[in-house]
Amino acid sequence: MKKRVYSFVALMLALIMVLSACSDSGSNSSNNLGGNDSNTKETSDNANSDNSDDGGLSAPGELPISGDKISLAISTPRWPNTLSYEYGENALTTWLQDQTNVEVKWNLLPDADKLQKLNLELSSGGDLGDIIMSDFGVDNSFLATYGSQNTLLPLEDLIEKHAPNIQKQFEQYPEIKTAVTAPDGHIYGLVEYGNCYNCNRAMRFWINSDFLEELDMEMPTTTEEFHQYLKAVKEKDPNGNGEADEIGMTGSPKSWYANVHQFILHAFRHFDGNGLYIRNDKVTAAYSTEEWREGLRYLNTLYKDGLIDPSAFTNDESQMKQTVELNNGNTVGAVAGGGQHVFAANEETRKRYDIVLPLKGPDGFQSAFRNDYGMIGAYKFMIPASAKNPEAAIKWIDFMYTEEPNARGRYGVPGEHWEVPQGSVAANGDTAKFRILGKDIWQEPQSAHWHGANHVWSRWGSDAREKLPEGQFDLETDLYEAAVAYDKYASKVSVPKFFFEPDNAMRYNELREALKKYYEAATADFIVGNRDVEKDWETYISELKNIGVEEFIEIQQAEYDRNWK
Amino acid sequence: MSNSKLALTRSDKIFYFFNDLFLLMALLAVLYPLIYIVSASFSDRLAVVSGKVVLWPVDFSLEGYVAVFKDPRILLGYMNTLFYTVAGTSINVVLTIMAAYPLSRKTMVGRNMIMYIFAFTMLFNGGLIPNYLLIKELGMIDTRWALLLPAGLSVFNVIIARTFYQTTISQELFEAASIDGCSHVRFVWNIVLPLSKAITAVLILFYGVFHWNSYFNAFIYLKSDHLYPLQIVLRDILVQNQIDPTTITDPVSMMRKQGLGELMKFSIIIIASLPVWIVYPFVQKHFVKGVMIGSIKG
Repeated sequence: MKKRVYSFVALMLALIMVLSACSDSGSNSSNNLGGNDSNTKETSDNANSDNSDDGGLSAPGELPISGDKISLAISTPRWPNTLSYEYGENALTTWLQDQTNVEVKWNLLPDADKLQKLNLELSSGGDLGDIIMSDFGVDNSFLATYGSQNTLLPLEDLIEKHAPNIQKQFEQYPEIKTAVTAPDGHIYGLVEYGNCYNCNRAMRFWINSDFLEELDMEMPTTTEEFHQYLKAVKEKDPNGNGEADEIGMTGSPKSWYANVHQFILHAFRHFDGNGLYIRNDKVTAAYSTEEWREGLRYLNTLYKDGLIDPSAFTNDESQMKQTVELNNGNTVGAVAGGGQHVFAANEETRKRYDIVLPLKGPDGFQSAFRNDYGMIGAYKFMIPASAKNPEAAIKWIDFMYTEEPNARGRYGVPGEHWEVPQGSVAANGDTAKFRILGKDIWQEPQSAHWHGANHVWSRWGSDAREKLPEGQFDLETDLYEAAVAYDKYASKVSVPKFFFEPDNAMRYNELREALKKYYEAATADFIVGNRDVEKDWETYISELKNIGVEEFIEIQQAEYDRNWK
Repeated sequence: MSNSKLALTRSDKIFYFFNDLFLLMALLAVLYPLIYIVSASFSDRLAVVSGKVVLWPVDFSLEGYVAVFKDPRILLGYMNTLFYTVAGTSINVVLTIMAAYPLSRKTMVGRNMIMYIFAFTMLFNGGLIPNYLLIKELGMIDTRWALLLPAGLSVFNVIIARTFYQTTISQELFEAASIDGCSHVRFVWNIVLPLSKAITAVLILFYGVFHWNSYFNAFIYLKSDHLYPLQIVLRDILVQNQIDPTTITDPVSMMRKQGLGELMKFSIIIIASLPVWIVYPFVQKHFVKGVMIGSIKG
């Protein structure tokens, strides 16, 4: 009796599960198809109807965007320091609505996991409104994937019809258009124009000028002189506290070009941010060359002499700052980093560190990093295929490509947070374009802007800021001057940001991640001596080949030959 | 125990000495980070960044706490989390008792089968995207219900409660009550609940802590920032996104969250975990007891 009940229940259960599995997948797939169909239909309908009568929208490039008040839904990560995004509370929202007659309906996503959230919403047919705005950390393979699935709207026709300012950017910088055009010929996302001279020359290195003076030494110009300087720091107690507590050099793998090896290895071989370079139209992995090995030998000697802080390979940015700030900033002889602000917390410490020009290696080789494609910034705008009003959306985005929304989006309200000075000199030596009133609100809690979410084309870089008075720490001036000096040693070797077909993009991403992880770990191991530069180099090279370094180079070489030669 | 008068042997003494030493070190290892966070939260921001804070606060400052209390989102997140915790825990406890009691009765038809089905969901589920689609079709996306109903019942807790009822509420008790005309509902309300306060306390604590700390469901199902619980706000402030250095367009943008993060980091951690710190000592004894009860196989 009991057995029969069991088997009956079991049978029923099995049946239910089979049925529900069927109906589940059935309804899912039909749902998805239905959703996509209606989406694409809707947009094409929209496009058609809008061509026949202009739906109250203005002529291309003219404000206000719409005669009648319309609304657009925008998905963007909620910046924790922007206190409100609403009309009447946020200065940028208010100003934009008054200019365009477009009300923004916000769809604010958690900032900490924005890319994950965006992936989830896109792959499950979530409603992302009319515009996806801000830097989600999206790359080309993301766009290739979702573009080919018709989840993102191709923008090139919309741009041609409605967006004169975006076209202007494409004409002025054709590289940007090449870089954002997918292999299928469509444009799925729009990038920010990177107008930052010093950011593209940011593998910098800094020396404690007080120590130099105390030791009565000249600024090192060769790897050998640098070695001598570090030794002196370690042995001669330049901070004068009677203890041998000085640290030769430190850094951090998790900050802005603050790895200990990146700057120094440039005395042996040139390479870009991914450890690659292009010379005579040939893509090469710098980390598999003999010169790289020679550089590791040198770094290993430094490490063996106790001149490199062991925690430099694990520090995060705030740990690096703590190390540099020991003894009121009188401990570390040399630090790697894009600017003094990433490794020093106090203004006094920041002023103490002077820039080191590219060092000359033992064979006389000397080079500096330069990112030749820095103008191609992060993806800032996309339009989801489910957008209800793509024409108004592209017109709104197009307005962001004019001057004022960019300045307001980065520095706040003119006259309140910044102003145009009268003929004073900028950090980059030209006429200053702006002066910050009071403190830069960029990192402060504020309701003036969206923390650069709409920032796509600034006509002047941050180095167009008025020079600060003598004696004050002026990051922009320091970095600009350093960048000018470094540029003399830089050559065009960096690898462009390729846009691969979805399959190639996936393979490329896999290989890039795997290789990067492996060579960076191995580089640290070679420096600290966990691997022997003499004995283990062959194993390292063959392991690189196992991971697929040759295929990785081939994929890029083919793409380079096709579109970038 | 100490009141047993047996003298400790030499080897016992050595053992106790090292045991105490070991426990003391374990205590210090756990306690030090806590003290450090408390001290850092009362210290000046620059002193913390410069590594001057070792044990006690340096350059006493309430700046961090002022910033936290001035921030409307943190207060709103706090209120939201309180709501989710209270409402969610209530739903959880009611449902769990309603599921666990019948399943503990031997007279219930097919209870083993139901238990198997319950247990099945512990091991297998549809996965993230089907779940999301389900919640979307049910119309719960971007509503408070999305945080309350999908996590309405934890099978693990049902098993604990069921085992408790099975072992402590005997069949004869219900038989005696039913002779006097008592129904199951009344039996649960008037007899079972008063007799099983310990397990109810454990359920409240388990579910309460779960709701207080939970963030993933909110991350997936919510879009309106006025619904966000505290944990999402915290993550946004504290977690630094990885930035591709080749796309940096402004040297200052590298320091994106530091201003806020370093100022509030420690005070916010203290404030966010304060309720749990306050409640925990009072329910801790139930906690241990409850888990022990649940662990006895029924």
